[in-house]
Amino acid sequence: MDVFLQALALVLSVETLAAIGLAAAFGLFIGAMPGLTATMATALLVPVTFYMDPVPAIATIIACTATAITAGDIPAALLRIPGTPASAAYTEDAYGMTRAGQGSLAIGILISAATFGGLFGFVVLVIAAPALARFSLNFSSFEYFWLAVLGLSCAALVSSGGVARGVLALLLGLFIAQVGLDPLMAQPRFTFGSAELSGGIGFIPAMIGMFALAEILRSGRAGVPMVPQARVTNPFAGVLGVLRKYRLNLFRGAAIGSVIGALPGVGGDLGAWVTYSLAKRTSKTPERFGKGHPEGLVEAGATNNAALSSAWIPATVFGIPGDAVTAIAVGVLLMKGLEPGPQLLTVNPQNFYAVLIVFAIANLLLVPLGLVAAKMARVIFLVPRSYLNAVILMFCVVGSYAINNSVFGIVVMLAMGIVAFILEANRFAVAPIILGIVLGPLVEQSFTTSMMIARGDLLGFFERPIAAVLAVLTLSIWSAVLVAALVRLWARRR
Amino acid sequence: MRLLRPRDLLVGLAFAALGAFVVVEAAGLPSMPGMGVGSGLFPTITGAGMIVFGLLLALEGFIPRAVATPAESVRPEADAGGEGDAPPAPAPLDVPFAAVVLSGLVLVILLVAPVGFLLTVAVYGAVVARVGGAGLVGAVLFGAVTSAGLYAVFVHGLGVPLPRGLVSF
Repeated sequence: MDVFLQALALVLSVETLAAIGLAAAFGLFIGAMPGLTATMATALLVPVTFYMDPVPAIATIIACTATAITAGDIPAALLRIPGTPASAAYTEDAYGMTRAGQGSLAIGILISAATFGGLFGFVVLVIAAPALARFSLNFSSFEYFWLAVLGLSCAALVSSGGVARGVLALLLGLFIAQVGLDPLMAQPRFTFGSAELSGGIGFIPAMIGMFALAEILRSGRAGVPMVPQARVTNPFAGVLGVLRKYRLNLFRGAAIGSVIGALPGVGGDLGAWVTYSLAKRTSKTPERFGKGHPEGLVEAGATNNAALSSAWIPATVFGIPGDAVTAIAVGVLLMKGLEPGPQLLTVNPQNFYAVLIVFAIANLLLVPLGLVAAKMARVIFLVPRSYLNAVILMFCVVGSYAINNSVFGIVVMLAMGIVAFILEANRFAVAPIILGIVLGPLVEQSFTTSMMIARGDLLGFFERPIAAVLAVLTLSIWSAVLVAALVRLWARRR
Repeated sequence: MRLLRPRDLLVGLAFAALGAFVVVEAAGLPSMPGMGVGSGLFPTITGAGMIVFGLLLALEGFIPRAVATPAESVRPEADAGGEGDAPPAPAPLDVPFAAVVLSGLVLVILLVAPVGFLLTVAVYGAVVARVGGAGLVGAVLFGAVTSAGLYAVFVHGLGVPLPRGLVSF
């Protein structure tokens, strides 16, 4: 109880509440802007969190992410431009409702389902994280190694560009993490004699370049039809009736989202697609899907934020982020000296519970802030792209400079932005690169430590029971994916 | 065998070459005496992986792509690894805009220390806005005001020592 009260005091400080409010407003604006993603919003905020205390810093990331992802549903509904890959799952239905004069209801359903899903995921996080943390207290480097490899494998193998591209993106991230002094013997690696490279490639400038600069290059000056044809009235009118009618979808979407989000390395975006597809298959009226039917919106909308919350389970308990946003969050935790892992829950539990409380607040804020965003959608959509691009680029410059007060940060941001743009143009995914950069040191350290304990005998990696289970799971996933790829290849050749 | 996607071949070979470089560099790194591990072990594994999967990608350039089945088409274009990882449909690059953005950043890198953050970033912001379609006066005002705002927040609010250069406050 004392711990909870301490956590509450941390959250209810002026600094934390101001950080939540400002970050939520920022996330809402960026998320509602067609073409700008929640990851980009989060990446741009990280340099600001560098100068905050740990709890307000994490609160900033959580509030920004939760609101940006939900706000991404607004352009999906009004303009048929999904704000996030997850909201792309149900864009046709949301826009179909708008064309049928029910745009406000579509937004109301999405915001309400997201709030429910987020709170459901929060409850799962509250129950599961401490239990898992107690369980993982006995983990050694062997278990951490396999867990990290499992997470990275999932992230790379579910990558839509294909197995080869996903794995290459991941390996590139691991390579970037190796630049600098190695953790074992402090030997310079891939530094070419540069003092700046000896300090390693900064995660934050790299991330800003890959998400913000690459996105500006990709979108260019191109305008999109920004003005919605529908006016948003009260988005919550009639929502309760719809949610009551599709309550099974609501609970199922939140439950499945919580499970998928909690899988290390998988992240939440897949969840909305899975549950939308499930809603269609189990619906009494599947023929209405894709034409403005609310059933899929309820289920997939709940999945979205449930997965967002539960993705923090592997991130906080094991330090294994599920997606790009939680990878950024793990980076911020490390930057603040709050190393993710069971110790986060045992040594400084008030910080962990403060994070949980922030989750609840951020999800509850979705209702009023979502209402504001929906009402202001026309104004947000009318912000000229020319100024928006310029301010984002100026923020990229100051953000990547400010981390180490060094021009080298801008150099890293520029180089990584170009690399990410080229890779994305060739159907590579960026998230595995980020996961590789964040998890690279953990994987390498746990691998080399395990090798030393096992005296170089690889069988030692399978001797502890939990490590063996994780190893078998990881190797099974790899085998299944490689066999499936070979079968497909064989079929295509014939 | 006919080459169907030259870009797959090129990108795959580029990764394989990077992997070979990593393996060669790692071979020169020291090991811990008697331990069987060293600074080069993990980079060697990473580099070897790049060579294998780079060559696989290069090989894919010769193989026809499968036509998506209805079940596969339900899968997100964006992948599940996070929202920023969505491989977008290839869109033509806005070359003049990209050239201004990138060459401008190079100039910012060169000039921000001697000229100062305020002036350099103000000019950069104004040029990007102008090239993006903003009016001249609006772009100049926007660049100056935004740069000053960022300077005030980071220098006076967060205590970050941004380069002062010729103009500061």
